[in-house]
Amino acid sequence: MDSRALIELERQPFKQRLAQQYSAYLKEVEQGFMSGREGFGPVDRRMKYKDLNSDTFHDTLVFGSNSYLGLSNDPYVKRKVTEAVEKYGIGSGGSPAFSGYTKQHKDLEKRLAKLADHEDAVLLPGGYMANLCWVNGLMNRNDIIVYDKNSHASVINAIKMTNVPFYTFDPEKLDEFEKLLQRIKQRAKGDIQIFSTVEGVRSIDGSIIELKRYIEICKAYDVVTILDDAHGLGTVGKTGRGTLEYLDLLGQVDLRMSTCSKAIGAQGAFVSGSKELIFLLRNFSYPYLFTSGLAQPTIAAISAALDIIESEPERIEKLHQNVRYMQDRLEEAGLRIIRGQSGIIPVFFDEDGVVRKINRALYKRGLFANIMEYPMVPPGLERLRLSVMATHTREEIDTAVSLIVETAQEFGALQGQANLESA
Amino acid sequence: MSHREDMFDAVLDVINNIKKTGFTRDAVEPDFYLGGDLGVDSKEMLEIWYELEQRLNIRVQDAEKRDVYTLIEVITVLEKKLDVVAAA
Repeated sequence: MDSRALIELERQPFKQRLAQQYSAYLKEVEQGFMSGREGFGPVDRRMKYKDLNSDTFHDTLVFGSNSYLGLSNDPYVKRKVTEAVEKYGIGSGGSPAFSGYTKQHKDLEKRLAKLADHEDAVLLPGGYMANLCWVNGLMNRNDIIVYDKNSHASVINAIKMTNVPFYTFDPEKLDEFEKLLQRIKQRAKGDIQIFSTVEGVRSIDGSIIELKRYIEICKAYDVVTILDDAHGLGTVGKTGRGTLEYLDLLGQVDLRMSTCSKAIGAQGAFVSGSKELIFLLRNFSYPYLFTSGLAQPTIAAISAALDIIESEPERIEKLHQNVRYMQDRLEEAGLRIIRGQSGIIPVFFDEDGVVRKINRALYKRGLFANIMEYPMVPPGLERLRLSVMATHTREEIDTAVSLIVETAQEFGALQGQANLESA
Repeated sequence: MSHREDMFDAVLDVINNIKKTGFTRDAVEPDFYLGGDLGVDSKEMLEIWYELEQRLNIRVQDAEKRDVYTLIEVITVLEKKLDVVAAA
């Protein structure tokens, strides 16, 4: 749907809008495009999935899970969770502002903070809430935020919710970012605080920006920095501590946000920083104060995942080996990809709209992957987004690549194929 | 409509209608940022493009609406479109 169609849809009366959206949804499901598929069993590299309008679950090879290290179904993690349930029970019984904060929360927060060489952290039920938390807790309408144009929807919603004036910047154009900061400072009336956020590992293609220079610029203009490292934790850095470790910048950003639902394989998210900044979030951020604290099994799962990442850094190396192996195979087969440093491999096809057909065919052949289409990515840059796991075997990667090549060929979408055929 | 000042007025008028603001020509500069200076977010900007396309009888593709941060950048896109229409 292009933006004109979107605006026209939004301007319809509610009941008409709902009817149109629902019928479009049913059509998607009927044609097998709808990605709201239903899985069964533990999240792993092989899973059962079924379409929404089907009763039969089929085996699929999963290259679309954020559980990059395979920790969602790890025996050690499961054992630690079971032990924690016996010892601490389940729910937290309240928000951190009331009764829902325990020693288990505190110990885990301290541990998560250390991953970025920070002093303290707050735990939240998910990445969306974590982004709401730092915007809402730190800023008000008298400050300014300059955010990465690729920032998650939650950051943009948090800005609206908080009423903080906002500017957007392109992390690929840091010279322009610096000029923008200069301009803001020059025109500001009085002593205004600028905040800025950037993605560590970019969620759309797995690449990493020139973070060192970004931080230097921010320091020069006294900007408070917030790193969104949702896809970096557990996937980059020698010991999996994320983008900051990978680029040797530990302790160099003011706040680091990451999730515990991806490589960590559990649920929830956290924001870490200095004790003063975290004090602000803990005491003044509504999304933290008024949401129930994480449940005990989740805390245990995150802690156990950290145990594994600390004691078995070879898992991260295995992930990288798998990613490099898959990147090589895809390129050898003539597929156009971006060679990122994390677990994400985007695969591009030349023709508009073909990626959803390819993905549907892949799913029918037993390969589960995700796609990103406009407006999540710019028009013309639709892509298949493959997520590699440390636990994938070479055979599984070979199978996935063969299926992708075979399917792309069938749709005439292999690089250069259209030219060859028309020659 | 090809005069730049007229174009400015059109853009400000549409912004004012959608945002319910009262920006006047003498209070804004061409290099004003849509977000930081005028409070227009990316979603609202799509509505503003829609209204401008209707009013000026042009079509701006979604790809052309990306990476547009300032008032003058909006006006440049519109002028290019109108030049194409005029040349046709």
